[in-house]
Amino acid sequence: MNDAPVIQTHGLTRYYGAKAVVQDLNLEIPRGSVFAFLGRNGSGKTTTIRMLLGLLAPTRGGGRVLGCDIRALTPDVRARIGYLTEEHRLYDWMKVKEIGEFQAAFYPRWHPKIFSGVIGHFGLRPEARVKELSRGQRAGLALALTLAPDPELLILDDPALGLDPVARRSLVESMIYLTRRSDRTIFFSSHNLGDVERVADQIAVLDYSVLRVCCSLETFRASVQEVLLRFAGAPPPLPPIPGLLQAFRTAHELRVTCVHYNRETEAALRKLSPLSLELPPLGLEDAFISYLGERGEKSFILADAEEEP
Amino acid sequence: MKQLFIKEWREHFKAALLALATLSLLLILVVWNDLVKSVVLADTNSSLSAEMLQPLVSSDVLGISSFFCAIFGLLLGWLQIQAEKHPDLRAFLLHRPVERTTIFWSKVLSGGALYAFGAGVPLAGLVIYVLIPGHIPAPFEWAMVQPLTNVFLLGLVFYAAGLLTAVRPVRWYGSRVFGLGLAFLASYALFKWPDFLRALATIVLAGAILVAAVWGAFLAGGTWREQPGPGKLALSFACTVAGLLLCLLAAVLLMEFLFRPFVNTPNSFYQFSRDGVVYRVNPGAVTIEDLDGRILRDEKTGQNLSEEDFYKTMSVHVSTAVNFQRPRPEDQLGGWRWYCSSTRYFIPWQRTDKTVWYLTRAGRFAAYDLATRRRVDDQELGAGSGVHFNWPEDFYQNAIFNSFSTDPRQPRLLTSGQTLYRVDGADRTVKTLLAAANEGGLGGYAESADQQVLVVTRKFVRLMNLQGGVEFQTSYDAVLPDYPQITLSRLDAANEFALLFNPGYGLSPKLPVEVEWVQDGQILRQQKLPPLPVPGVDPYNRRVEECCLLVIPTSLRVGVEEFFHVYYKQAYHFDRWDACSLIPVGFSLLIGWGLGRRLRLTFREQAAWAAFNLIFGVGGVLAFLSVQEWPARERCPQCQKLRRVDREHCEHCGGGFAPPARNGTEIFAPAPARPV
Amino acid sequence: MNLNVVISTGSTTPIYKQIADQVKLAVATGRLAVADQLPSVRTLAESLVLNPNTVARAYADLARDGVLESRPGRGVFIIQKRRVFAREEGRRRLEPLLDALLGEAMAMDFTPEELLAAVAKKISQWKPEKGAE
Repeated sequence: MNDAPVIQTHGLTRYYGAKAVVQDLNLEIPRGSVFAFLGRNGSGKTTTIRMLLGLLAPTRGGGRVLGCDIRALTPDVRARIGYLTEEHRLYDWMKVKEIGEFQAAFYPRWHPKIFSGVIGHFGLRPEARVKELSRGQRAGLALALTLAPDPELLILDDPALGLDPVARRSLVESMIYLTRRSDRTIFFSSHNLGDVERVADQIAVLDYSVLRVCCSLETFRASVQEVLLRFAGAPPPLPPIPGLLQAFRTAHELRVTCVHYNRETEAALRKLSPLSLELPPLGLEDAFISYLGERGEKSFILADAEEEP
Repeated sequence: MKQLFIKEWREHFKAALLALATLSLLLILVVWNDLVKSVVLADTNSSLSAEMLQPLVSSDVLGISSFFCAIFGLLLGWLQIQAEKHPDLRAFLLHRPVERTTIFWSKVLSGGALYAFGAGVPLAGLVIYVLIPGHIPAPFEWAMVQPLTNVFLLGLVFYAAGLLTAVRPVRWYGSRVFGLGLAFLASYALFKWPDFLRALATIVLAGAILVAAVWGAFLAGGTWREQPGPGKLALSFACTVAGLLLCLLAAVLLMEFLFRPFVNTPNSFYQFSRDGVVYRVNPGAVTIEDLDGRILRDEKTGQNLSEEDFYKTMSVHVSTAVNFQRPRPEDQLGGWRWYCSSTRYFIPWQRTDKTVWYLTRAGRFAAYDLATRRRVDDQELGAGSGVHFNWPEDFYQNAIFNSFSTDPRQPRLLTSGQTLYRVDGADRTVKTLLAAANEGGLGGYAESADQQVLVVTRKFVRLMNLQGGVEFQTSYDAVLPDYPQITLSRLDAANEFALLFNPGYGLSPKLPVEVEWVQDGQILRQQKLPPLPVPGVDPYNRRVEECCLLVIPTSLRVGVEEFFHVYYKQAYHFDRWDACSLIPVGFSLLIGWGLGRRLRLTFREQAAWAAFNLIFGVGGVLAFLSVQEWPARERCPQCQKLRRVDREHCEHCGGGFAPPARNGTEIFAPAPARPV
Repeated sequence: MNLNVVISTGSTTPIYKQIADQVKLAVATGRLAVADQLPSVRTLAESLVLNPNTVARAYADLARDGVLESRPGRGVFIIQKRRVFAREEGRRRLEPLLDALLGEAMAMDFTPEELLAAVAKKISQWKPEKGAE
């Protein structure tokens, strides 16, 4: 069993027209990890995944998946990669059973038990046509088709999009089931931070085409800190703070979120002469939202003046 | 592979079934209509139409089939790709442990099978219908199936064009349609050179190029850079052809609507009145002049004499073309029209009661009953008469140009080039009207409205009746090829005739029209009339026409003209227009070079495109524009010049790209070792 | 076993810490006794629908704190609590918890005497199960 990363990119870049949707991406995904790929809508996650699978040509740069260049993935390597697309589009006119047989014909290692197991788990009849299935059922079918060849690397593009909670939970359970084998890797993008918190080891965050985070979940949580400053009167204007994510101002408080909180940051904040400086704990979801949100100061959407009695 | 084939088949089976139903319906309608008409018209005097009687040579059937096959092929190809356009569905298809080329071939093979099902089954059904006796009251030969086969196979070229149209994700939607250019060119080539082997070669060549272009685009997901070499070459070629056709179309439209070089005025001609006076009729201006140039006027109204009134005073006349050579029949009718015409196989000769007589190319008379639609009789023409014909050379002069049978029940004339016969289907007799072997052979003949025949041999011009008697004869010294047309007019005076010798079309402005008045076999008078102008292109407009055609690049002009020189034995010389066509080629080279520099192409790529532009001129530039991708450009951090974003190193200074700017919120930590 | 762990995502407490805290609470309240066997990392992970590494980290922290012990081939068992912390360290870890407790109580207008009485009552409720120290 080699320890080389299952996915490795160097300088992966993709332009649509004059705009870069993925810029200079250097990513390494270690074998055996459950790797979450996060970012806001339109930040380039699906584009990255499509490039990794050789479905979209990079403008510049490249990468390797399971040791194979992404521009020339061989059929053997493709047999070891499972890919679940965002919309789980399948052939509407096929029956569940037929699409299973169709897929099985291509893969040398196909486990009918896994297929029927997942199908059963999602409650699908073999005779049902794909077009009759609900979104969650279709996701289950797509998952079954992806898991049955027992792939070494599972790539999921926002798999829980639009799924009801039960289907979503089944999906997460399947992912955990896959981690039974330590050589199986999962690379997935998601907006569901609860699921990410449950299941991911490592995360990477694409901030509008640029990779800004690549670390373990705990490192991320530890790196994002909220600071609560209380003042007697109105809070003073905020000086530039290194690593500032967001600042929220109310009548007597300044709530600041930043990364890599250290002594310099504390000193800079204390210069504002607050009445008190606290470090409340921050949940992972809130940390994500702070990180992914707009930088800088903000207040609630409506202006304060409108709330005057 | 098999699974993919089955999946494609099932996915588009309904479309193919719909096509099958549509074409079957159309064919049934047309054939039924024609059969019914031919039976109904059996009771009238109208002439027999081979097209109505034998569907395989019917231009309706061929026209419908060719349009249908082309459109169905195009739509099927487009549908096969477009149905999987959604990126996730496309991902589902492509992400599997199979080579992409294999996926491609499964698609194409299943598409071919679907096409054969949708278009081929109805056509095969038609052929079987014709084959089985009792359905079609006309002779059948296997060679008749060739035009339909050509049309069917051409649909496959359109299928490939349909695939190409859908597979390229280009922004300029127009360039998607470029695949059709080659398909149209193949159709045209089929039209010009329809005989089976050449047609097959055209189809295979065009189809292979298009399929290669589709293959390249399919493999690369539509981008240009990632395509394999053969794919790039095929795509460039297809786009170039389309570009050239587009330019040609633009040129023709410009000529047609802007400059109008094609003048449509009909020719003037000379006409005898019944008392032997020659008049000149100008149909364009609708005037009739006498030889002094005075326009005839109606005495009552004072207006110009109308053509209808003049024709009342006109003499009865009959004309024939004269030609002692044996040109190829296909040169007479040309390409596709000859290839598909019934005359290659048979001529509907005569009708007696409910029976139709055909003269087949085996030199036999075949009779078909219109009621039972079966063959009822089959005899050698003029059995025992010693008559023998060569097909089709001996027949081309006959039924096509000179037959004039108002009543299809009457026997007709037939010539072998040496002898003129009258052939009666009713009693299977062949009667010799004139044996001209010792007069140098027959140059031409024509039947007049009142059942007389104008016959021209190398020595005499005769007017004969259908029994073989001679009503008029004068000596004739063939002045060919300058005077290939003779018109004989009967005048009012007893035994007086007027003969008019027309110069050939291209020579008519230079040579005079020769006229003779003959009575009792003696030449009374001869006269030369001023030559009539040839309607055609005004020299100014001719120049404009030539200018518009300058879009055709020099290499093609020279190539095509050289080809005609060799093939058709036409004279060829490199004229100033060919030299002028080097100018657009030069422009194309310049523009192509400039665009290449803008794109920062490598030297090899520049050279390849320069070769393309040199050979294909404007078409090459259009192809360049339609296939090349235009990557964004950004400023290089080192040298500050604009550079392509899709190259690792700057074209100017060789520097790399700067990584994106950091904003202080990065969190990077190497992955820890796999925990417990 | 009587262990019933409930975790919630999005909380300010990391999941592994929630598990560890709940195990500690179970031990403190007597629901888990010494020598009780805990579910294996994988079993607990799958039942809670979590990445096994998270459970593994919780167990590692508990082992470091001396609450449980992993015996190879046999499983994970609760052990006699050993004092693994220096007193000083222990006091440091207690500080924020005291802050939280006092903060809440003051906000609800409890007097210091009322608070001390409540704490004493709690200890007496626990003390019988807790054993020595």
